[in-house]
Amino acid sequence: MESMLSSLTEWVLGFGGMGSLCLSMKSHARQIGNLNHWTGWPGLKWLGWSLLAFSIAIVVGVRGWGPGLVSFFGMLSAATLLVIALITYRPRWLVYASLACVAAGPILTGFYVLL
Amino acid sequence: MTLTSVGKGISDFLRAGGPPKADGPPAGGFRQAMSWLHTWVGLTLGWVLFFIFLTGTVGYFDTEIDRWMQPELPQAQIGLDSTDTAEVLLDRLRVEAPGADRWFLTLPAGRHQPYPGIFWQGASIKAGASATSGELPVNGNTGEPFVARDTGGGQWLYQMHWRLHYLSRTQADIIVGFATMFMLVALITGIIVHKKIFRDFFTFRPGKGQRSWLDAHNVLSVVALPFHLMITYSGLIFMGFSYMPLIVAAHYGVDDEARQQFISEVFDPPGLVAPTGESAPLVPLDDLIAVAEERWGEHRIRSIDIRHPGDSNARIIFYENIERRVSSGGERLMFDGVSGKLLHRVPPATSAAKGARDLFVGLHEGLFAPPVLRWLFFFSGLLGSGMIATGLVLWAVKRRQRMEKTHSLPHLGLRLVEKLNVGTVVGLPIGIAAYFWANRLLPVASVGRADWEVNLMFLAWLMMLVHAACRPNHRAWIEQLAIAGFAFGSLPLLNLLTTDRHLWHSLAVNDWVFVGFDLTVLTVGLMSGWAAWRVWQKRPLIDAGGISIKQGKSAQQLPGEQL
Repeated sequence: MESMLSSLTEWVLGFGGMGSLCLSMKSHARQIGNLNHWTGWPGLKWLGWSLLAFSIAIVVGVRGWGPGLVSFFGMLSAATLLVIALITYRPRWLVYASLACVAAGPILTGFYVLL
Repeated sequence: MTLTSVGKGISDFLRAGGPPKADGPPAGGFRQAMSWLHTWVGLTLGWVLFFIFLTGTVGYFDTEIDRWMQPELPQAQIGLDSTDTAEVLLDRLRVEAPGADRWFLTLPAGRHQPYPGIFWQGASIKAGASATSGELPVNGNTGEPFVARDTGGGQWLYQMHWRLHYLSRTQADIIVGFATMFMLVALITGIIVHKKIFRDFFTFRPGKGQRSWLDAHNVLSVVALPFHLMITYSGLIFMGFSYMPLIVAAHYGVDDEARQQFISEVFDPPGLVAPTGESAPLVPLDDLIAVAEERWGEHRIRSIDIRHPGDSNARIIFYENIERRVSSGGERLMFDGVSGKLLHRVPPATSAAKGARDLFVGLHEGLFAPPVLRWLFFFSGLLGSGMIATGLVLWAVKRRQRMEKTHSLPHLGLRLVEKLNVGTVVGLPIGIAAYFWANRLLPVASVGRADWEVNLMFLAWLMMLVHAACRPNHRAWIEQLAIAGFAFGSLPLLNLLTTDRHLWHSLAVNDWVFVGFDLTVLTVGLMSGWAAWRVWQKRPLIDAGGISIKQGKSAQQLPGEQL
């Protein structure tokens, strides 16, 4: 159970990070339509990279370097593929899903640390 | 087909790709040269690589497949008391293998070893042994050997990815070695050739023919690039002793004995001794188990290896379970088999070089991975298989598009690649499905059953290659995807009809291995069916003998668009 929670946390942070990085790019921001107030904003890039760095810190802290990095890259692949699917076929959902993950990531991490 | 037309076909084939005039001379710069290398290194052994990747990927669930393929066996016996189980196994060895040089006890320590088991070498038939060497899973509760259908199970499916099943060890090593080397070159040149690796990181443009295939190929490669590099490089490390034999030969010599000495120095624990021939009773295992569990924790003994049982020079080696670290191999404890004295504590890696090797081997095998991580390994392997498949399809799509522009007929090379693509990218999975079908349908008592399961797998694959050769290319994709959809999608039904461990039953008793297998093949079946339907929707308007004639935009849609 504990490992499920940590897996979920890693995935959510990875998705939030990759989603932010994707939306920070001008070429993808154009795919969003009239929702693009925040997309393409360079701050998103920093947010994305920080979430990924944070995710590495969490996963290495929890699982150790070896299994931690393996898990990080695996989760990141899975999250990135979904980001690509969404920006291609449901670009707006990517905005909502990324927002949700950016918000949920720290909360889940908090839960995980407290529990 | 006459010899001259074959000759012409081959020359066309080479002209269409070789350092080709049509593609612009490779002298155009470093990147073009790398692009040429990427194309040809990827294509030449691409289908072998697809086979290696896919069967290896399936192999991440080898034990789970083993269990599905022997439905007679009960649920896993993980967590039985170590002392009792060892006693039960030792009794069984005394019956099956008296006078053996080596007794090996496997304890049900976790996912890789769901049942207790024994293995022995050099037993004496005269003293009543059932065979000089053998291997048996044993019921930890009753002490009786399990009786289950004869099958290669997930193990054979997994071992195929480097043993290539029908070939000798040497032949397989050479082919797999070249394929892996080609893969590494393809990955590195691919990174060099990919101009906009960051800018196009999230880019997939569907419905644009060749462009879409290139995007898909890039996405599948880049998204799991760390995995692809790791799995390919570690694959080479795995076989290092075979691929670089001169290094060993320089230090130890060239004959088999010298090689054996090297292997035993690297892998055997120190302090193994020859038997004296004087008999002495084997020390009871209880105390030794207590020492090992004290050190490693309860249920963390993976196996107990007894060398020369009953001899005054007997040695007993305990192996630690491996689930806590990425590197392959755990700690070993060596005891005197008569006095029970702890002689050596052998660390997992005896040198930095061995440690590095073990790390790569451990990463490649993923034995340490708990369920979620195991699924990620499987998923990354699928991405790798998809990367190879899209690369192969891209090769064909690019040339067909160019050919349609110039209104020329497809040359033999292009048609060959197109047919091999369908027959392997979809045909091989159909072969794997046939392997599972054979497991349920071949009579349980038939002779050579395990071999026939595999033969049927390769026969089914061969039939798909023949089918691809006979049908127009686009039809072949649709039909084979539909066959794959049926073959995988109906496996849970087949399981329901031929065993009493159907999906509802598995769900009711929390048998997650069976639930996982049934649901996974069902998902694969549904996705294949869906892909068949999508390709059918996008079929070219005129379809004659494998030549699709351009009709508006539809000719841009290429076979297997949605794969």
